[in-house]
Amino acid sequence: MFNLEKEIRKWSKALRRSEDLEDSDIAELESHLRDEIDHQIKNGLDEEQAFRAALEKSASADILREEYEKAKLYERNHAFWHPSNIMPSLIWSYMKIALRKVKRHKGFSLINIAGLAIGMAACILILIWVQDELSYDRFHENADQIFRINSVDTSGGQTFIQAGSPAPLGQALMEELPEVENFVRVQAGWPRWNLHLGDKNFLEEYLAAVDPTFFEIFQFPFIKGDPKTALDDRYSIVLTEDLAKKIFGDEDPMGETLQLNDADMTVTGIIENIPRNSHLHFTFAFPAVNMTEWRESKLDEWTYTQFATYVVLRKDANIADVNTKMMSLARQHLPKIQGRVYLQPLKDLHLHSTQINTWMLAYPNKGNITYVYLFSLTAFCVLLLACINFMNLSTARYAGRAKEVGMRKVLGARKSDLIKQFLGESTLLTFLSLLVAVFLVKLMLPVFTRLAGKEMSLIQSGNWRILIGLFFIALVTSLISGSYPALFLSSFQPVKVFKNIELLGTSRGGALRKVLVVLQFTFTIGLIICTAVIYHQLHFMQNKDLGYDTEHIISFAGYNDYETNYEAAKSELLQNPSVLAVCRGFPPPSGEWGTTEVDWEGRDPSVEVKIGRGPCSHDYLKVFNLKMAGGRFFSSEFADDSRNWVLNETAVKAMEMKDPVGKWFSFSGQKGTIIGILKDFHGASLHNPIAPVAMQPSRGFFVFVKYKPDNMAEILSFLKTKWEKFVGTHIPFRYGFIDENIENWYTTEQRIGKIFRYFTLLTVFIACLGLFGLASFMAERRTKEIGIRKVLGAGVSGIVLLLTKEFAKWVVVANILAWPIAYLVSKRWLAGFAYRIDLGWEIFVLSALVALLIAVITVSYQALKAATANPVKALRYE
Amino acid sequence: MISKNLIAASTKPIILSILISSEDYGYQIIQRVKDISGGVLEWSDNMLYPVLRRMEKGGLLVSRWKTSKEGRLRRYYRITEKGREELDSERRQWLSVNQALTKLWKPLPSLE
Repeated sequence: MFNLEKEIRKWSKALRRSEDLEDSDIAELESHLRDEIDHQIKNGLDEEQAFRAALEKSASADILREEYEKAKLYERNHAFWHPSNIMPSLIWSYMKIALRKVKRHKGFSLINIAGLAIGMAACILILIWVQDELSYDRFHENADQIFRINSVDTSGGQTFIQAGSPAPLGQALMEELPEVENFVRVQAGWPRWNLHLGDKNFLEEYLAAVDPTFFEIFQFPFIKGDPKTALDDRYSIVLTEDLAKKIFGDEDPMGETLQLNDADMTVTGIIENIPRNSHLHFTFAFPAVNMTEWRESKLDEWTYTQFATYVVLRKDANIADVNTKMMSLARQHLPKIQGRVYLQPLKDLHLHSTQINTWMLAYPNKGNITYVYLFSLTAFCVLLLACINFMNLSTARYAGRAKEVGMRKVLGARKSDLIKQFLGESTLLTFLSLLVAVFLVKLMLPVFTRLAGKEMSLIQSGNWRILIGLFFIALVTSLISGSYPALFLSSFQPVKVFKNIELLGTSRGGALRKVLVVLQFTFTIGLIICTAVIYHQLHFMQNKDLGYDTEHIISFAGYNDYETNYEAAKSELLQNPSVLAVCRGFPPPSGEWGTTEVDWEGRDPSVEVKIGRGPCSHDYLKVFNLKMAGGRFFSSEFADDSRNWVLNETAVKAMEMKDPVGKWFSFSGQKGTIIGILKDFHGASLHNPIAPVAMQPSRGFFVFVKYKPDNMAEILSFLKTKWEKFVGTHIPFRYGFIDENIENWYTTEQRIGKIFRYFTLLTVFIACLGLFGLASFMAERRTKEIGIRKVLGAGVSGIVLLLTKEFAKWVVVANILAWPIAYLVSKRWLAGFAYRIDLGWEIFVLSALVALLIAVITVSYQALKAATANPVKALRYE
Repeated sequence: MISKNLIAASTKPIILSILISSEDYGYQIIQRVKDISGGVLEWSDNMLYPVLRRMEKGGLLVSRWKTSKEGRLRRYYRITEKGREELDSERRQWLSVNQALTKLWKPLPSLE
């Protein structure tokens, strides 16, 4: 039986296959065909004959397609105005729809925009920090050509790298190597210099003892004076802007004199304050020559390495070549050298010096390239996570908009129009998020600044790069998140969309979304594990028994009477009942300043040991409560104890000594008897293994006071009055606590731990937002299924379980993926500590449980909502 | 039978000329051309539509959808100002060709 309508549909479907024929063209052609059929029927043909006749008179579909293609081409070539590209009224409509969607789905939009904004904000913050870390020392004009000579000491089986190098090496290099253009020796950053103007003291200022070439090589901008000649005179001094103001007020300081170590120094230059991102820090600079007198610096001796030497190399210099030549030069003068000297580029000094001892530059805030990488990676991951989330939620939401797409198509929208609409919409949303993110950054920056321990701002030089980067990231995010609905939805046929909405967003987008959720949770779980490991290790380090008392011990510098009349001062302090014990020396030694110039009774000549020295007084044990392993400690009862030695267990082990007490031991030629062995203790942070140390009574710089814990305030005021008596009022009383110092060993770890904690919270939050959105979407999509299940007798708990199970499954998968990664990362981080926790399975299992719990809580709210809904409502609408 | 090239060349002026008096839809345009030419100018039916499309894109015509009395949706075409100008120039060209040919063909002496 011939069915005219069916035939006509078949015919129009054939035309529909062409891209060039728009729906309106097909409608017009169909209208024509029907007119012709009517005409033929009027002429007496039946329906089938009329249809065939009408077709015969028409051109074939192929030819039509060709012709329309020509029309299209014509349009492209001839129209001045391309209606498909610029459609102002439609753009307005798109904007309106997009904003309307934002308004109507407030919760959803909030989750979506907030998630992305928070992610972007976190990313910006991290990038600001990274940018800051990378900016160190770049402001010197010839930064590329400046190198520091480091020396590696491998004597005694230990590797020790320091920023100092043989003092005459720079001069020798200048003379011997054509590649070396200039050099300067520097000792910088130490406070408490005897700098004064009349009776005004400036103890909190930082020195730089340098060669006169200093300001030629490092371009610290001069406000007054000539950088080339400022330090030519031995008694000249250059001040920073702030210090000059502090000393001279509004007077012109140029040419004025002030006293440094009782020598009259003439101010020959004023420089701008040292930028924070400089690895050298000082407030006044003077010629290093003076140090030969004031600090017995042996600037002509090759064995003297307490200055850092910087060289300027010719632009075309080959670093490896210079290193080799420098090494052979050093060997000429130091035939017994064990180790080597090498060049380190100025630009690497900040981030690549963690293993290098830089005491002569007093440079505590060293950066760490590992953290730069780690944080960059974190920034990338947080952003990725937020983007994934955004995409996930948007695509889930777009499925509900199939009807709109259908409507637009019916009204004549082409596929390209729809793609433009969806891309535009996601762009609008991402840029809205970017805006919110920038606002958040402004809000969070002070907190972050405190966290990171340095002053940073959004509008810093170089940060525009971050913003441009984010602009591109936002663009990419919007492209990716918009492209799925743009391509997927716009290719639907309107009829299908109207008939069956369920078809959307189930199968195709579902798999992608699952992968994204797993990815998100993998990252989140990984972060939770890493944070847990960091905290575990920190807790371990802070609570590990160091082998001596650390609490309730005050330390301060032992000037004047404390130095010259110690015993009298001590007995006066002890008269206070709250003072339990007093001693002097240095804090328990770590062995860092060791020497291999040691010898002992019965030494096997092949054994070489580097031993550190710890100055102490005989009452040292009373304060620090170090434990003896054998023999006795120093005592005032033995008059010649000052020549005896007490070693730690590690030293005895390293020297392979048996029954050491009573045998002789010599340190740098100071020979004495070993009278006791100390149990091992940690003089340095747990990053380092315990080193061999030897203790001997001698003058130490610090005075330590152990007090009763309950009245610290009283003790402090008591010590202050005594300070004024023994030292004087011209130096302010400054003190520290031993446990605080020990805390400082781990500031970096604590900071990292804190930052990690925040980022973990953040990622958990973002992941939860995503999960919450997805769960609500899933629950909504399965309303009918849930309704039917309930009608058939399913209980609330069963349905909650059904919905939760699916997500829980993916969280478990994420766990399995995250564990090996987190394990490897944690293992590497822990390798930096000589004493560390074991990576037990507990952390992993606990993290997994936490993640699972968070996921279940997030999902179950939606699940519960869906499960408790009245099934009648769910099923009624059809 | 008129050659394909000539049909192609004449389509535009013919459509414009038909639409100069009133708006019309595709099927009707074809019918009127057939009537006027006495069946000599026979266009393949729906070949007209791509041409109409092209002319619309070129700004010579505008179209709108209208439901006819029979209840069928039809697309009506109307000539624009630009279309009128185009028709004017077409007319001048066709007339000059026509004039030249008429002059050339008038005597035809040798045919006798």
